[in-house]
Amino acid sequence: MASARRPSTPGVVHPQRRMRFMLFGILIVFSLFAAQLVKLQGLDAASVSAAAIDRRLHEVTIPASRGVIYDAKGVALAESVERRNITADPTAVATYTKRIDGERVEVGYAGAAEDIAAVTGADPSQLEQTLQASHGKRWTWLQKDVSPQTWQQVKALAIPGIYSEPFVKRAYPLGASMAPLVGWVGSSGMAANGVELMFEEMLTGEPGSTTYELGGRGEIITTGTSSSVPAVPGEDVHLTIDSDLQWFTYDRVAAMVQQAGALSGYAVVMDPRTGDILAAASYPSFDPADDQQTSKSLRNPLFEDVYEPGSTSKVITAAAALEEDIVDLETPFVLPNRLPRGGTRFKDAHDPDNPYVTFAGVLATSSNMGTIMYGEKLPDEVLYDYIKDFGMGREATLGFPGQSAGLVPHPDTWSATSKYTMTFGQGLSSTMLQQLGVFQTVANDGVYVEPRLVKGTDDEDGTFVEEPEDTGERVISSETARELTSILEYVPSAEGTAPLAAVEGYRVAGKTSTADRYDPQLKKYSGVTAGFIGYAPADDPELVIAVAIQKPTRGKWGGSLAGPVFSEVMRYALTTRGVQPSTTTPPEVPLEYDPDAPAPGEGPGVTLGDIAVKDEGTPEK
Amino acid sequence: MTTWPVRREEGGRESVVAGIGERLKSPVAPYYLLLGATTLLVSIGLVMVLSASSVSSYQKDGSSYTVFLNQLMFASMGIVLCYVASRVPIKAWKWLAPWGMLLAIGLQALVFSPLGTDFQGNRNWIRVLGFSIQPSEFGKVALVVFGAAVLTRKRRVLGRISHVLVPFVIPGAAVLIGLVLAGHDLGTVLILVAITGGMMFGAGVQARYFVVVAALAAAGAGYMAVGSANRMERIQAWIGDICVNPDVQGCFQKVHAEYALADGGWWGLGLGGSREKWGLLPEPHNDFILAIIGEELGLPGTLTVMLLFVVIAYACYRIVVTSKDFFVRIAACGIMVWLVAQAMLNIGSVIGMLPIIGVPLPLVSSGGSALVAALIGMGILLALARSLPGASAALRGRPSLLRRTLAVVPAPRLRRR
Repeated sequence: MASARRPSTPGVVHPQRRMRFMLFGILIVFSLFAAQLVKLQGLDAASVSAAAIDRRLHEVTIPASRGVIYDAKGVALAESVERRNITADPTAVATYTKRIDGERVEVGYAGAAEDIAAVTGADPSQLEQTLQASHGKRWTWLQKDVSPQTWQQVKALAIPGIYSEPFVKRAYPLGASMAPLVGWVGSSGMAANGVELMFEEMLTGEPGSTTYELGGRGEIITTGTSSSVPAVPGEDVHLTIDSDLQWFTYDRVAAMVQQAGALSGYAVVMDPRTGDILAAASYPSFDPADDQQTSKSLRNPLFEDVYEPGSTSKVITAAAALEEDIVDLETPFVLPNRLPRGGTRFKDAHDPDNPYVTFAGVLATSSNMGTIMYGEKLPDEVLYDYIKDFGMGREATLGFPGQSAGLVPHPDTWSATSKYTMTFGQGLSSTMLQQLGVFQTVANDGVYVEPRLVKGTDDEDGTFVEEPEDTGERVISSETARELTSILEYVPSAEGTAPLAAVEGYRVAGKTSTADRYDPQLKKYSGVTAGFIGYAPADDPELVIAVAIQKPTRGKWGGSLAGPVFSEVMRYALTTRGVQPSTTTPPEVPLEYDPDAPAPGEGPGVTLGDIAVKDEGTPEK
Repeated sequence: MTTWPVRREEGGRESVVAGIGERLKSPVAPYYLLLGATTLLVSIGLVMVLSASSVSSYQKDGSSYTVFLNQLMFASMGIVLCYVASRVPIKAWKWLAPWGMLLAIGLQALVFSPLGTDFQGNRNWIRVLGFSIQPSEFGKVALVVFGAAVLTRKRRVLGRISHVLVPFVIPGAAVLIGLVLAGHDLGTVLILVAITGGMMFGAGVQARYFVVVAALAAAGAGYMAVGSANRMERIQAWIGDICVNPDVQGCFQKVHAEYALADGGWWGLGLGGSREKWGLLPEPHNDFILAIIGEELGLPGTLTVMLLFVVIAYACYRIVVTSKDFFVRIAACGIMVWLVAQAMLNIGSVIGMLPIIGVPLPLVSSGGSALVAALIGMGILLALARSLPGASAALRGRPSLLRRTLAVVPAPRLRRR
């Protein structure tokens, strides 16, 4: 070895020494590298790796599916369905080649448009135009809103550059008949009005999220970390609505509004025993399938409009008078042509043909003057309390968006004429639902129950949670209720004010109302509200229905406009719900009397005319 | 069952370290070290090329195996050529040297013929029979053999610089390097320069020449770097401490390599578990395969790869030390400089200690020409190792390969008993 180290050639170093030097250098360099690797992979790894994961990690929200709104029979009124928007990368679509007769031909936009149109049913020239318009771009919408099945068929065509984006669309299978009631959710996912807004929180659910690592091309790294919080779907809401009845009601109201050239119309069907709203239709409505809506068309006048109840109030006044023993059914009245009270001379729509009418006659013929004559005998507070007890001017407990409470002025604020007008339904305002409540109370044996729109909800586990029923609150005795019914049965009879409201085979009780309509825009009375509210069968009421036609231009009387709608809806509802026709006949209630007939229970020679209620001037306070 | 070589010391104690030392002194030690290191590197390479290319290969061709099967085919070809090269006698290599050099220069010139193709801005490839061949890889083999042969012939006059330079450097190496430089493949130029310089250094040429050349090279490199925005950017990324995230200009690859290594951490994410190979780290199965090795196999993986190159360097050192033949010494030195310098440039780039130069990791990275050329280089090293005094005798004394293989199968007779 020693000899090997000696250089064999002058000026040259032995390769062995050079090699040892190089090996030494290599070891030093690799040691430095090893140290750097320990630093990168060991000591600094945690923070660098965290930054790396942070850059790869993406979080995607999983939308929670919105709850379904069902009717009472489980028919879906609003449900969320998955839809697709077809998108295109025109640059890629242009390269679309097809095998035609064994030869590969580049068919480009035209070929792609034709093939896609054949599946989706769109206009091929329209699609081609869309592609041409975005020529040179990398993205465009090609066709919006197709079903997932259609998209699968389009995808199977294997056209390059055709993609889709999923979205959830709110579908309203029953369309316009339900629209103002159910409300609307647009593409933004925000609820607008109706039950959708009323139960927004319940229906929405809790969106979840998925977190995963993404590769350079946007693909999910399958071996990477991923986690997901599942979305909690929204709860389903079950309404008390009967969708068949709702559709029928809507159809009838719409026909009448068009026939009468009216501004709008609405009708409510209720079960008087439970307060369940079985139908609540209003017209005009809107098409929930449109993806644009105005706030004007979305509002539901049935719950939002307030107007003077008119003759409906006479039922309250009559009920109070009967309950307070001021009158009985046969109390005789003598109606004047004019009744001066509080500086005003009140009159009826027609001067009475026969001034000698009983209390029953006053109510049945809807005499304003007769109503004042017994109503003014009620103390202010008593009248006010009865109005309140029947549900007028009460807080809107239903929770329907925009629902109004109406306004019943407190006696402290009454003007000279307030009390008189309020006995026959002017000077106070209420929604149709509140007016329906008056008749519901009478139909339900004198017990008022709060209206109910929602039967219950399905909670997270799918368990049905029932909305509690209102136990009700007695307002008048059952005897008073029966007596009122016997009078109201006269209204839809051949001799009454609303013969068109009669339902053949069933005993019907009801009341027309033709109230002057206060126009908030014009700030004056303009047009009328033609209404009819009634219930059937009168001997055991199953249904109570209210119909109102706002500002008709052809005809104005509640009996002739609202009456026929009431009759048709009532007949349909009674028959479809299997209510047996009435077997009894209405009790005879005398509406008029002979003023010369002897008054029973009085001394001899005293006639009914003598004891009759007459206009004796403004009563002493 | 351990098979550690154990030596009984005088006191009767057994020493494992001493046993290994004994084995390393054996004349066949370089041969087996090289064989083992090559086998391991090629195996690790194949497995990691499959893993690292699986995602991009699937995205490109619909199959995760396209790149791997291609690499497997070249590995098979390379192993055959490696075996052949290891059996070619030293004399034959000496005789082949000038012709090999001429062939290499001719092939490299073909790059500028219509057969040549561009790849990523480098004109470095020729297409023959449907294969893309990178002639410069084979040029490395030719340069080593040519240099060793020429310097051996000149060994008596190596004290005079003119004899050192002509004809090895001028025209041999200079023409080859010039052609590669014309194709803009700077990585290969660096390796060829390293081989040329390394062989002269190994041959014992006086150190002062290297000092002068190194000074000139540094000045030249500095001049070229300042003159090019792209090169300045790479140097900034290397030592400028500007790479806080991959979005900084010029830092994308460097930072993603750091991410990959950091993801792997001490023990790795497990084979196949790389995240950065999902279209994030560029060239995951080529120049940056070490980052993926680090990500999947952790620190043991990267250190093993480096250790195997150290083993090759050590084996080459042993050949030089043991051999009496000047050609064998210089050739071993040349091949060592080639493989180790290339490994250093590659690893240094990946771990951020060198600017990103763009050379593959020898024997590991995907790339047919590079793998076949490196295996031929290993074949030559094996031939050199076989030529060591006492080695061929020891190797001949072994039972045949067939007998050795069958020895692990239990004899049927024994089973019958």
